Amino acid sequence: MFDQFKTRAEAVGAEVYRFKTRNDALEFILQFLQKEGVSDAKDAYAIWQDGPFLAGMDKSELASKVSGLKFEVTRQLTADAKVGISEVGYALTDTGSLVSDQTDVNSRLVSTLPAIHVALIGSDRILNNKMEVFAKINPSNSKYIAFITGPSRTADIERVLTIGVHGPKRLVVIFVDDLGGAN
Amino acid sequence: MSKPNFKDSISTAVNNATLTGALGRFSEAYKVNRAKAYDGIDFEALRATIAERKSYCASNLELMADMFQKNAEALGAKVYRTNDPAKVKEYILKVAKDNNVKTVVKSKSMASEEIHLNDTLEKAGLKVDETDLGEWIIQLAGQKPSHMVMPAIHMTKEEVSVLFSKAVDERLTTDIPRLVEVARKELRTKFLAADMGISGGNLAVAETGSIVLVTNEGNARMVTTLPRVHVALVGIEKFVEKFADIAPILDALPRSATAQLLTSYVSIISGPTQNTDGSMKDLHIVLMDNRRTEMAKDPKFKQAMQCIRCGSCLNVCPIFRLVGGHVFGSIYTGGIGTILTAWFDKLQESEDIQGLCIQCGNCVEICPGKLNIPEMILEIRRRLVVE
Repeated sequence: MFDQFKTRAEAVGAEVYRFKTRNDALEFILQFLQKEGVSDAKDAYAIWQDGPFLAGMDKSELASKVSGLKFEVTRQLTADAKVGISEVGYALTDTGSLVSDQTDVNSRLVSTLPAIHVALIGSDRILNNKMEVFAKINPSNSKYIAFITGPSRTADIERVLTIGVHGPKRLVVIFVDDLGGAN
Repeated sequence: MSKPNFKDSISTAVNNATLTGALGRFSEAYKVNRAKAYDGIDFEALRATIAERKSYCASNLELMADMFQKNAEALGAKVYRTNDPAKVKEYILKVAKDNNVKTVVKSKSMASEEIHLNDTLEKAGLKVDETDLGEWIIQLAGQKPSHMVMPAIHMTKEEVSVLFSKAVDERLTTDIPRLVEVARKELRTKFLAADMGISGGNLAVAETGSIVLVTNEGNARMVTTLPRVHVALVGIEKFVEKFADIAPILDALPRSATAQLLTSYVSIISGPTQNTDGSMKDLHIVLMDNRRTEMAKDPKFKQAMQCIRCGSCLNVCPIFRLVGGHVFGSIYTGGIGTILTAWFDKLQESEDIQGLCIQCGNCVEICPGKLNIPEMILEIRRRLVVE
């Protein structure tokens, strides 16, 4: 199922990775942030929304490894960030989409405003299609259900596909096998 | 008799090589890509489901509206229902005034175009910015959309470059990624500063009081998240009864509209959520009738309520391909536009444009709502003659 998701998601411009452990994924993320030039300057922050992935991790130690990495989500900080990191609920193989309960406005800020959105997800959270996800997520407790399929795109000028209009220019999806029940 | 300016507009359009070139290239690519997008899907079964579900709502509009209102209000949304476009505008102005709104960002809403909402808001002194790239281009150009899904398909990058250069007071090239970046920057400031967001609604789910927004650019996510007030303007043809009914329509809408398996973003909003300052969003949902109930009661036109606004009938229309959208002279263009104009505007407004349909039936083959547009256009012809 992972392979099916990866094929569909990459076809719409997402970048897809998979790691066995949280530590492997963390190492990749820290390197990624450095490579992308994240720093403690306006338009260069990375904002990481708290979630099960970070459970038991020493955030101040992580922040000391990458200057500009912050765990506090505010409107202003995300507007000035280059990278937003958040956990998402499900991945769908049929369309390569991520589906998440984004009732919490912060989860929308980190996945909308920065140029790069890094989405973390447990490898056991892959479903086949919309009907399967609608059986698991419902609007009576999820007031803002978000489907995210690849980066932001437009073809409004001469039908030329252009990536990154208002939302993220890159969507990086990171699967973690041992996130399991923590997700 | 055709008005002389209608004939002129046709000959201008047909002789506009840029326009016919763009539309021709698009419609060729569309055929192939659409087929690819539907690969592995039983289209006949899918559209039978959609037609049945939408037709059920069209037969039970009052019930759907009652259900929607009850459920959305239970979640904390404010629902306003009216048949009258003037009252829609009055209501939205009042919401703006009550909340001391000065600036508005909009994501794409054909219903708002239908009633010329921007004019009203601007006359009242509000600063209104369209944020869908195509709609923003049209707004800067002072034009109307020429296609319900691709509003600026008739414009060249050269024209867009001139418009954007003026808007940001900088001489820009015709490099498309660069133009898109300029729009991103310019509109980002507006998103962050706006007091009110206005969206349309691709679907309204009666049993849950949810509205569904389908976009590619991410602007609807910002419009519904960043400003403290959100008004969703929804035509009552957008009802589905059950939450599960969202699935077949999401299966068809992006495939038929732009040959995508799914758009980049789909948002299902059920009641207000918190704003970034911790306050609750002031969420208003305006259910606009504007003769839709009357249309649903007309046995010949009830099927038009099954339309999911994908625009695929325009994409396969041999006439649209030659003349584009603006000759239709109205907000809704193409074959479906002719029908919607006859109802939402008035029958006489469709007098010239109904003649454009050559009854080829291309649109019947591909319509995900199983509308028979040529049949309805013949009926318009008949009624015009009777009048």
